[in-house]
Amino acid sequence: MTPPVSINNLTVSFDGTPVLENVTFKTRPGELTVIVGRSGSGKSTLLRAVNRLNECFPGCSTTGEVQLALHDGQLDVYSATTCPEHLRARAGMVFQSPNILPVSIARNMLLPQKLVRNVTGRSAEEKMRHMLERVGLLEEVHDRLGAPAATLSGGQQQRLCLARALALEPEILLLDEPTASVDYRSARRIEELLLSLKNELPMLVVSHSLPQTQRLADRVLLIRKGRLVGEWHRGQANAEADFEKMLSTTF
Amino acid sequence: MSAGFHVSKDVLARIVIAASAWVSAAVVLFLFLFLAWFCRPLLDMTTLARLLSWDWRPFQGSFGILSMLTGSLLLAFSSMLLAFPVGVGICCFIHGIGPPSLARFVLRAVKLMTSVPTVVYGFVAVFVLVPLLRDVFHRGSGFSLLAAILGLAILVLPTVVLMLHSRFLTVEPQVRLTAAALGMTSSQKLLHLVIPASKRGFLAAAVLGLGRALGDTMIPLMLAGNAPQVPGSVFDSVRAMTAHIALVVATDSHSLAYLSLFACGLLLFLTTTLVNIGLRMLTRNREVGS
Repeated sequence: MTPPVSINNLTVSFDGTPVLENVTFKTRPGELTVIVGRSGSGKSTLLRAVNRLNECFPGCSTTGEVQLALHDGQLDVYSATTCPEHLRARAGMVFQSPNILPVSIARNMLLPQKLVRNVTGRSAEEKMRHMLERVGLLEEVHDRLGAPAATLSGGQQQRLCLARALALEPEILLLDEPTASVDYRSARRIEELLLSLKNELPMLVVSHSLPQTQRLADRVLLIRKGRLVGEWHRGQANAEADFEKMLSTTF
Repeated sequence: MSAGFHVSKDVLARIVIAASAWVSAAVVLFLFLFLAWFCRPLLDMTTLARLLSWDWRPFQGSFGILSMLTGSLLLAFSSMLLAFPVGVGICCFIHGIGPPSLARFVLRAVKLMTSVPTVVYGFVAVFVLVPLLRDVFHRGSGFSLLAAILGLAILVLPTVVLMLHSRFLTVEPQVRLTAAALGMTSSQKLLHLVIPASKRGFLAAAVLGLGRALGDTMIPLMLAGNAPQVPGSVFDSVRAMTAHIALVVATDSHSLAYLSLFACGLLLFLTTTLVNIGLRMLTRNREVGS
């Protein structure tokens, strides 16, 4: 089967300093891939290389190849003909800290749908409610959808961001430590949602938590100083022991 | 310094900032009181009626300043109507719509515009804009309301652009990555996120721009033709209050007409203050409403 994400010899530099070097890997359909590594190892840069978000930072230069298997075929992410906005609309992303827009809860959900997917009116509202329900937020905010999103708690904001990303019907989801800034209950709720989504939506998740990685990962990629130095798969022989061995020096 | 007199840098900074604020407020209050004090001789009904009339014929005892007030308001609001949308467009161009290298060049050019003396704008306009208007429209000498509006619009443009630019600089980084990650284009980000979140920048740009347009003397003096009348069209000559003050001060220093200048000064002061308060109330009401 075609790998949802296929990365070949990826090198990302900022102002000439390499942050990622010759990273090569493939994910598999139906698997949740977790990227781990110490702070500053290049995990977030790797994630942002998939949707070309690194290009929003000055001095970025990328070489290598990133291929995504989308519904209408393979997409060469760094091809000259690939439009970054089009790519990002199909590769959703959730950041480490909640990146709400400075508008109301409802507008956070409806505006991207309108601008990116051209979905408005009743369809957009239904999608909004469905996704808010899916992330367990609808019950908490149904009577204040017009309130500023900034009035939500950190955990609620992060779930709103996840709902917003899902409402755009991404074909791959990139999550950069999605539970790093949320409370325990919100974190577990997000994890449950990710596990329920993994068969329908390819996901790359950066995690800083060993227990979370254990709970979520079908495949683990270990990044150290910008290089891929280890790979683990749940189905491999001695999976448990190898997991402990590989990650003992990371967390 | 002994321990008893030790004042921390933080406290010192607060004292200096508070003192600056009080001094600024005191200067504004002093200006108001100064103008009001010198307007006292005008405060009898007969003189006031002559002052608040449309005729400026000082040798016949008519020194009405309403046509000058009309001229000032027409010039200021019309030039802002022109400069404001252009300024917003330039700011959007700088913040993502235009190619980065050209955007940087435009920003530098706008910053340079602030350092050009007003008289230079006036001088260039007298030799380029005025003859151009005269040749194109064949209506009068070219020294007209239209010439002054265009000159003032160019003068206040950098104020509008730079006030908006400073607000965009605060707002844009907050939404840049989010908007990009959601797949929004630069123009969508500006139109739907940055501009709505920059209300204060728009208010500041409007207040400062209008203040600059109302208060400028050189452009109306050099380009508007200075006829003390209510213009029938943009090709007519007009006199602004600032230009009126400059013209009368240069030729008179004792008459009642001279005293009317203080009323002009007071009116300018009150107009600027009222515009400021009005725009603030408008923005506050909208914020409460939304």
